[in-house]
Amino acid sequence: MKKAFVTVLIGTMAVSILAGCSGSPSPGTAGGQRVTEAAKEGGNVTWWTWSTEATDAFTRQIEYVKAANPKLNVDIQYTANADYWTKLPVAIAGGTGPDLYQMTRPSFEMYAASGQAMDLTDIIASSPALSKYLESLSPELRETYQFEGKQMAIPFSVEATAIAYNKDLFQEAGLPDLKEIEDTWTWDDLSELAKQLTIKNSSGETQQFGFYVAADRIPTWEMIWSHGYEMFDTNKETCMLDQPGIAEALQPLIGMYAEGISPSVDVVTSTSGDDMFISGKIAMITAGIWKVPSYSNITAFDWDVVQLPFDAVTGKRISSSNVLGLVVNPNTKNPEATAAALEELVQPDCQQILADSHIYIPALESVRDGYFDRDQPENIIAYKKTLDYIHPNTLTQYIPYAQFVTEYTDALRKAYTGKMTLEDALKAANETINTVMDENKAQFNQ
Amino acid sequence: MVKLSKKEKKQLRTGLLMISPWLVGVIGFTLIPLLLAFGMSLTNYSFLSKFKFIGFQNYITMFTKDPLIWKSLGITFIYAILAVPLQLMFGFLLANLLNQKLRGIVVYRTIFYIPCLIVVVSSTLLWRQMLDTDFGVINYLITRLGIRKVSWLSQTATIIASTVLISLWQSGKLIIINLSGLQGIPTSLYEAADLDGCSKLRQVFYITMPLMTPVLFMNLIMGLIGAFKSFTLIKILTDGGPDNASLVYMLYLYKNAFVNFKLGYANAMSILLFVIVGALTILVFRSSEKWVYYGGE
Amino acid sequence: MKRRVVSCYFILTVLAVLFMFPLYWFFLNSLKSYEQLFQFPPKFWVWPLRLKNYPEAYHYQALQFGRMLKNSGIITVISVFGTVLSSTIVAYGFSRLKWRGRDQMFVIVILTMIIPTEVVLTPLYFIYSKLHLLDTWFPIIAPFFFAKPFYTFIIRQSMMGIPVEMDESAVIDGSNVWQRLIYVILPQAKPALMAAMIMAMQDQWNNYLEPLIFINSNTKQTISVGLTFFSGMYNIQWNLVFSAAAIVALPILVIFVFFQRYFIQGIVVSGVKG
Repeated sequence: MKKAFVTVLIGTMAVSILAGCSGSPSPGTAGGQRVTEAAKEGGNVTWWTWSTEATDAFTRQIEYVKAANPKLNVDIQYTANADYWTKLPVAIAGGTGPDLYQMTRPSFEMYAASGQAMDLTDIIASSPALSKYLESLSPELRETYQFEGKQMAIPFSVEATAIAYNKDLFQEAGLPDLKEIEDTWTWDDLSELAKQLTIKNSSGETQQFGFYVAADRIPTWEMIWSHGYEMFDTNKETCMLDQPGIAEALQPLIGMYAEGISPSVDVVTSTSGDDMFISGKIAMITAGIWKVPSYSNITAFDWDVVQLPFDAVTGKRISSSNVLGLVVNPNTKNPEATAAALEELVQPDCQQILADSHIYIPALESVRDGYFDRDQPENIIAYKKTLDYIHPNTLTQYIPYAQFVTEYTDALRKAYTGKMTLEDALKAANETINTVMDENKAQFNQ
Repeated sequence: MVKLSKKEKKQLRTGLLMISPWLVGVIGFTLIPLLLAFGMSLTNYSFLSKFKFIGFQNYITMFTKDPLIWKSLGITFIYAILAVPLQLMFGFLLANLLNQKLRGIVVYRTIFYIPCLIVVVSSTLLWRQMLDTDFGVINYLITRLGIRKVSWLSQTATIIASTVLISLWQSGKLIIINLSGLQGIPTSLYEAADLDGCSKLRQVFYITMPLMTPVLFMNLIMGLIGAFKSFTLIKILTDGGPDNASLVYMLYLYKNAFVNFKLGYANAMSILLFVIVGALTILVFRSSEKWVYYGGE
Repeated sequence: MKRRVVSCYFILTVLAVLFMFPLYWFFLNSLKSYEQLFQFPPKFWVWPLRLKNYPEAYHYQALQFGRMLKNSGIITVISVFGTVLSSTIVAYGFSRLKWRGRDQMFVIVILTMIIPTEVVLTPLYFIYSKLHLLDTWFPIIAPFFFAKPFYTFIIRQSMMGIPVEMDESAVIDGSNVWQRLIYVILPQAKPALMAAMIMAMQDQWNNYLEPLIFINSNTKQTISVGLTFFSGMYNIQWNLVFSAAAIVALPILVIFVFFQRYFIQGIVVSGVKG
């Protein structure tokens, strides 16, 4: 065993020495050397992600990089999502983090503010490929991964939310297909339909639920934004969940839950709403684009998707959108190799792989069509139309995403189950969140 | 310092040499990290930002401003009080049953041991599915028997009950430990008791249990420590919910460290746990002098 | 007499059925399709059995199942070896040798068992990162070479039960400490040793938190961590979860069935042997 780990130790040191030698002599990528020249040196790049469902697509992307630049060795590491966000900060703090890592939008601010993301301005400036890529993105997508004016991550995919529905159940209830009202319906309409689609049996137990009311960011963030409100002030320093408008925006959900239209949120269940939709127990459910692959397993009934309902008051609809991005570890030992890898990854052909795999909608508009080229669901184009009105999932640097979500969803749950009114629950959550934010603010400024 | 004779000195040297692996290990893998943890508990270290030395502020916050500390300690205590005695009794009773010279007893032993072979992550997912209120097979079965559905994973009481149930299901190791303890009791003692006309039940109380006290003692310590450290099962079963109804102490510690990134605070929580469990263990040790019977030491 | 036997069988069978049911459910789930898993009322039997779940789990892309199985195997074997080596020596030191402060020191051994891994995890992580031992197997295997308290405890207790006369006759024969250990004590302590080995094997095979934190590369990762890869960000691939877990449980099960006899004899606690 001793021999084994000494070998491993020496091996690791050898690789890192080699990798170090292969880069340019100047640290970082400043100094004017074009990234593409450094790329000719090659090197090793570690890439961390949690998206086990995208293995196929990422593998092909890595092959693409390898074909374009045989000296680059990209090594991708998967970790289950829950553990990813535990391992990542530990690894970065311990100095052994990856060179490149995947970022989910709501966590971005905190990582950027804490110096866990490299400022990519110089790399971009010296790379025609990266500059071109970023310029081809819509300003919204490009800017969403900027922090204090500096580009700190490269966006690569964009998400959208729609409503998935069980066509058979609609037919059985004699209701018209949702596509007919897709461009005009409001949350009140949805509530009405959901009521009609909720069926109880003789002993009063619900056999079929009209809609899945989630205590989650979806569809609540959609509803809040559609109603014209934000959860944080413009400086992102204070949480404003206690605004009356927010409670107003979420009223339809409270109403629906009270009428028993949705499965209970009070109990920890093994089945998510998705599982229940798949087994035909729920008529309508919000469906982020990532759910489409698992819904495609459905064989027992006909299903489709439609765009979100409009807010009844403002007449607007907005979809939340998790924009995924790639971040460069500021402590990376292979900045040139990482930059070179990024250069290849952002090539339109490489991004197209994401679309063709039907796993991600690329941030790059010109290569998106492949994603929508499929038979199921019929109305997949609904997601494409939704991209016209997305709001990236911004948060704030002063509270970790997971902590915010816990407080937020607990408040919603209490409100749904009637333990507190929505106003009170939001106010209480708001206080807790602001306390944490104040603590963190102080720590950032110490 | 007591003066040691030459012989005693030599014995001490040999003894220390013999246990040196453990000594080195405990210093390197336990003591030094523990000291580091204590040091970190005096800072406001967070993975994502610089840290500052803040003295005992974490501890003060723990005791005065954090209701979840008390809640999680309470939940953990209740779990320990319920789980440990039940585990001890169950392990002992089942071991007795499995100690009979019956045909095919080996099959039974294997059946009771297999559940603990399944990785905790997977077995917990299994139970989560079975205990589902609306779609789980357990509720299905009990409704068929005419009993009302139980919302297993919705409140502290039922969650703790479920957790105890699952841990009993996976207590194979404990049963086997008890079993070997039982087999260490010479049959001659039982034969003598039979001759004296002693009933089987009384034999259990007057022969088996006293002689099993060392095993029971070890199980008690391990069970107590295990109950306070319980983490993975709850994390996967309920993740502390709903609304912190099942937030055991270690889970809360984990959340503070890896979700809220408050590492200094989490380390303070670790130190507190160490103190509590240490005190309990010493208590049990002290009391053990009264009731544990070491035969041939 | 007969009545006792019958009632024993009865209770055992009832309990066995209760114990076996979740197991049955476990294996049944591993052979259901995704949709079948969420049918209600639940199906207690399905046909055809979806044996495909097993190769699908094994070949799941993000995972390198075979590789991770191998890693777990190697790590476990090495750890068991380390346990035998270190725990026997240390247990011997705490039981058969007389030296001042021995029993008090042993109490400390017990106390160190209390410390949960999570407590020392982050400090250890920093130490290892400075020593550049992260993403190697060292952090996971090394503790087993330093007499982990639990196994040492078991072996020590067993050694305490070995009659002192055996030592004494060996001393009279002129053997030294080490010879006594190897030729006299070890053979007597074999059952406990086997028990410790099997427990160490099981603990290391199922070890989850340490490989998760200390190992980064999937090529070096263990299968216990790999099993979590089926829980995606938004949903769990239930049908693969169970078949994968079944594959992982199999080796240990087989070993247990074969070594059951030794295992049970193994943990004889002190004092009462004739």
